Amino acid sequence: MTAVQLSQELTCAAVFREHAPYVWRVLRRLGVHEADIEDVCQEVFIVVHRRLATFEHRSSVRTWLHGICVRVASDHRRKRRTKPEADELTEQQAEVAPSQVEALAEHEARQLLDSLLDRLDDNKRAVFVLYEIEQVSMQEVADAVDCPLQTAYSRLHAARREIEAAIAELHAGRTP
Amino acid sequence: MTQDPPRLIDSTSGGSLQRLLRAGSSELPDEQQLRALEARLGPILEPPPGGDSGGGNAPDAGSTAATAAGLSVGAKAAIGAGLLAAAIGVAVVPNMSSPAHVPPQASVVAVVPSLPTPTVITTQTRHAVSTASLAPATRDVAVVTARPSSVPPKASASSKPAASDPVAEARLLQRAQDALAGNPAEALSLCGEHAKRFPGGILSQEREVIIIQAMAGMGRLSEAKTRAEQFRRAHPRSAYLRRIENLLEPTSEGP
Repeated sequence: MTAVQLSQELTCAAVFREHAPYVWRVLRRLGVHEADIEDVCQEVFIVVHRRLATFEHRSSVRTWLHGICVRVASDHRRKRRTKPEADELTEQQAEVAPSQVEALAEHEARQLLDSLLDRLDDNKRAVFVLYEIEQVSMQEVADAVDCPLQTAYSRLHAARREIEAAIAELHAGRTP
Repeated sequence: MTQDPPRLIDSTSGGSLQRLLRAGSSELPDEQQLRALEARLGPILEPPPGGDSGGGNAPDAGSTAATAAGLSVGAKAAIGAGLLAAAIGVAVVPNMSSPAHVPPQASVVAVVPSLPTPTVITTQTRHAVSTASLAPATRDVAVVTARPSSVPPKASASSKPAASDPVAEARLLQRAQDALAGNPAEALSLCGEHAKRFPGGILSQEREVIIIQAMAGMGRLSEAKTRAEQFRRAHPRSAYLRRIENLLEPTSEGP
């Protein structure tokens, strides 16, 4: 249990201090573009601020945050889909190649990962990201996405199949 | 306890997916990005009046931009409320360009506990709260870092409720939000109540979004659009702009 959880008076500032980097990463993997990440993070913490008074500590703060992130990211992606924006190019240009080869490789790996995740629908993506990347337990995943545990398992398996198929496709395309 | 399947990231096969997952799990924002975000959140990260800022933890020295912002706000408050508004404007009230005909509802309260004598600066317009209950939130700033127990506010707004009570604000707006789907008129009414009780509330942007949504829900599209435009002018960098645009978009684009 974290210090934040132990506190009776949970403050938005405390949640921010402890979880902001984590929220940032989860949102990125949930499909929030780099150009929008600040806006969407801000939205998450506005929701946190608004709902903090009603947070009942039935789950961990992180699980609670997962749920908020999943919903806000899903909302964001839906808007993005309806509004393909011209800032895609800007975003690409903004991603200046890091000086270190290692960092570049990491960056490329994340881009590739995100492109694979983009193939999943929101439900499967949320389960896959929380379980496989953020290593949250399946029960917490189910709580965060607000579905029965068995449904979460089904989504995970389906997501794995789709990701593996996409990787196989990628390899097939690369190897002559 | 559970029979969670082995994670792909822990797989011993060392495949390319594992490498990608590891890369995905290692990304973190840098310090600059976090500070920018903190600055944008501004007063939302302020402690509640009289509350403990760190939830029982000593805050990391200089780690929270909000704290830093609070201090600089305090310092500026001693100089003048105008500067205070400007200082916070980065986070909450960017570039006020309120139309001349819109009555400003500025309510700036800053209490600076670290000064030898607690300084209370209150700037209020002459407009009664009731007349502006649903006026667009063009200037809403409320920063209360601490309330001195021995020195009563000199020029305080004793006729109106405390400017900063995030919990009560949140509860009231949550009720408005909940009412939106089934009873937008009720949502609107609750927003009016919020505007009266918290004219300088830190959730004024949220209130505006709910108002716009309620108006749209009631078919008052023209008013909703006007309101949205005023909001856009008052908060050109607000995270809510996209949501508002989305609310007012024609729904003909569905699949």
